[in-house]
Amino acid sequence: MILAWFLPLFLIFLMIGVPVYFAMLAAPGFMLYLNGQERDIALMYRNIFNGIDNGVLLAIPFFMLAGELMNKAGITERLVAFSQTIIGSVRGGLAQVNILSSMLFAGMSGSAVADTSALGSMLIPAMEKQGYTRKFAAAITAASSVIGPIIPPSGIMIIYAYVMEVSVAALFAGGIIPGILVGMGLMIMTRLMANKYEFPPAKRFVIEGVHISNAENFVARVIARLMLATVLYPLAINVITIQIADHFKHVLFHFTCALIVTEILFQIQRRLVSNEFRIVAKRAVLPLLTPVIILGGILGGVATPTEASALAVAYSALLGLIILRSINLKDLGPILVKSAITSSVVLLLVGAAMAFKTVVSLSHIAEDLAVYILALTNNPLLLLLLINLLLFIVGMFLDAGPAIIILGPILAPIFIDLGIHPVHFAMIMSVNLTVGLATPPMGLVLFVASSVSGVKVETISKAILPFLAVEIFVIFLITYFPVISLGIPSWLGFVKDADLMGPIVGSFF
Amino acid sequence: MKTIRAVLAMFDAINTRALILGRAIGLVALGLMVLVILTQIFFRYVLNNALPWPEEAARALMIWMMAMVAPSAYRYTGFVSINMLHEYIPARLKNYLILSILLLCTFVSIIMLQHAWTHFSSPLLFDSSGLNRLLQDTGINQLLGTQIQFRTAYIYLAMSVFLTLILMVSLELVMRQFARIIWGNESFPSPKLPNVMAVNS
Repeated sequence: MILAWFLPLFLIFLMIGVPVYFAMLAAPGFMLYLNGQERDIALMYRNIFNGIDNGVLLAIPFFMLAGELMNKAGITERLVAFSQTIIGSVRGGLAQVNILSSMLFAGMSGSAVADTSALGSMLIPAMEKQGYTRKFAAAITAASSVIGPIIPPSGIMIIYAYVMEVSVAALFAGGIIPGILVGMGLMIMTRLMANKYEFPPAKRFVIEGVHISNAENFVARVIARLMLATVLYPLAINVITIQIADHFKHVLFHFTCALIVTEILFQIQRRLVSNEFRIVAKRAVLPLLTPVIILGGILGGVATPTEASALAVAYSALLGLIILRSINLKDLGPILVKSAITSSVVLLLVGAAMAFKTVVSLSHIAEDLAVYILALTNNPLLLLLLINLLLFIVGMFLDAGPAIIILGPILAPIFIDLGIHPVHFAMIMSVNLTVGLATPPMGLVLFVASSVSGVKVETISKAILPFLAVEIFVIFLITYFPVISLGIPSWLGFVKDADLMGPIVGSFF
Repeated sequence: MKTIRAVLAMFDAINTRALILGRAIGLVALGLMVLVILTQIFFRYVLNNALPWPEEAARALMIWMMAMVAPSAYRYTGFVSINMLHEYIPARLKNYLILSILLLCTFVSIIMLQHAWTHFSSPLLFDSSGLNRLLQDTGINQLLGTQIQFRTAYIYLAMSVFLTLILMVSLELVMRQFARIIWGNESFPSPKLPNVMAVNS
C-alpha cells in the first residue's frame, strides 16, 4: 500500500532538516495525494485544529508560566540554600546540592531547559569558585536537569497522556519514583567521583547572613506544621483507634492529634539544629508549597491538571509579586510572552501529531510494524531492550516532546498488545527520551548548559558521560521492574490489575 | 540586488510589526486564560456553581495565543528540526538545501491555509453556546444595545491568521535565502532576535 511510504518519506524529511511540524504534515499529505485520497488531507487539517482544541492542553502553557514566574521570582536561590543545609556537608557538597536542587525544582517546573538555565546560572559560578572545574559544573547541571520532566509536573507527560489517551494523574504518579531514582543514582556517582578526583571540601552554607521577615516567618511556620500534620494524619487515623460518630469531629480530632505530634517534633528539631538552618528551611517553605498544590490537587483527585496548573500560576504570581516582592508588574510582560512562545511551539506539534496519528491509523503502519518486530523476536525482554536502544538513538537527535509525539502512536500500541502496561510504557518512553535531552550531539540541555557556562558543548558532552551511564542504568531498572513506574499509580488507584513484578522478578516466583 | 533588498526590507518591516502585535495579543490571551480558569475554580469550588463558558473561552484564547505567537518562533529561531546534516555538507549545497526546505514549508502552509479558510467559511457556522452564555450572563449585549453572537468560526479563524502569518514569514525567509545564494550570506543577515526571546532573558 503506497500510503505506508509516508513513514520513510517523513524520516528523510527529518534527516535533511525539515522542521518536525512541517515534516509531520508534508510526508503524510504528499502520500495521501499520490494515493488519490485528497479528501483525507482535509481530515488531516481538521485533526490539527481538533488536536489543539482541548482543555487538557491548557496545562502546558500554565505549567510553563508557573515555572517561568518561579524562576524570575528568585525561588531558585532559596531552594539551593535549602539543599545546601540538607546535603551540602557531604563530600562533593555543591555537586550534590545541584542534584537535590534539581529534584526540588522538578516539583515546580516541568522543563529541563528551565532547570538548566535557572540552576546553572547560579550554581556553575558558585561551584567554580569553590574549586570545581567549570566543565564538571556544567555537566552535572545538565545531567541533573533531566529530572525536571520526570518528577511531576511534566510537560512531556501531559503531551503523552493527551496523544495516547492515558490519565495525566497516573503518569504524574508514575514519574515520582523514577525521578527520585535518577537523582539518587547521580548522587551516588558524584560521591564515588568525589573520592576519586578529590573534589573540594564541602561547606554547609552558600548564602550567609540570611534573614526572614516576621510575616513570612509566621506563615512559613504555620504552613510547615500543616503540611507535616497532613502527612501524619493517616498515621493518626490508624494508631488512635477512638471512633467518633460525627465524621467532621472524627477528622478534627485525629488532625488535632497529628498537629500535636507535629508541634512536638518541631520543638525537638528546634533544639537539634542551628538558628541559621531553621531560617533557610523556613525560606524554602513557601516555594515548596507549589508542588504540594500541584501534586496534592491532581493526585488527591481534588483538581484537574488544568486547574492545578492555573493555581500554580496564581500562587507563583502571588509569591513573586506580593509575598517576596522579587518581581514587579513590568516583569510580567516578558514572562508571559516567553511562556506563550515556548508553549505555542509545543501546541502546534501536538496538533500536527493528531493529524499524523490519523494517517498512522489509515495506513495500518503500526500493525505492519508490529508483525515485522515480532518476526525479529517475541521475547518481551529482548524487545524492550531493542526499543530502549531505538528510543535512545532517537533521543540523541530529537527533543523529547516531538519524539514522543512521533513515536508514541506507532510504538505504544505494539507494546501494549504484548502485555506492557500503558503507564509503564509511557514511563519507559518519557524517561529514555528525557535522558536524550542531555545526550550529544543534539541534547537541548547541553546547548543551554553551554550557553550558561560558556563551556563548549563537546567538552560538556565528555564530562557528562559518567552521569549518562547512571541514567541509562536507571532506564533499564524502570524497563525491567515495572513496580518502579506502577507502584505509586497502583497504590493511588490510578492503575488496576497491572503486573507490578514484570518478567524478570516474575520468573523467580 | 537593490530590488530584492527593497522587497526584503518591506517584508521585514511588515513581519516585524505584525509579530510584535502578535506577541502582544498572545501575552494578553495567556493572562486572560489564567484569569478565566481561576474564575472557574472560584465558582466551582467556592460557590459550588460551575460556569458553562470558562473552559471554552480558555481554549479559544489558547488557540488564538498559539496563532499569534508561534510565527515569532518560526521567524527568529525556527521550529524544532534536526540540522546535523547541514554541518557535514558543502556550504553551497547547504544553502540550496535550506532553500528547498523553506519552499516545502511555504507549499505546506499554502495548502493548509486553503483548508483553514474552507473550515472557517464553511456554511456550518455553529453558535458557540458556552461563549454566548457569557455574553448573556454579563449583559454585554443589553449594555451596548447590540446583538453580538459568538460563533465557533471565530475560533477557526485563528488558524487562517496563523497560516497567513507563517506564509508571510516563509516568503521573507525564502527570499532572504535566495538572495544569500546569489550574493552571499553576509550581505543578508538574519533578523535580530527580540530581547524577550533570548535564552537568558
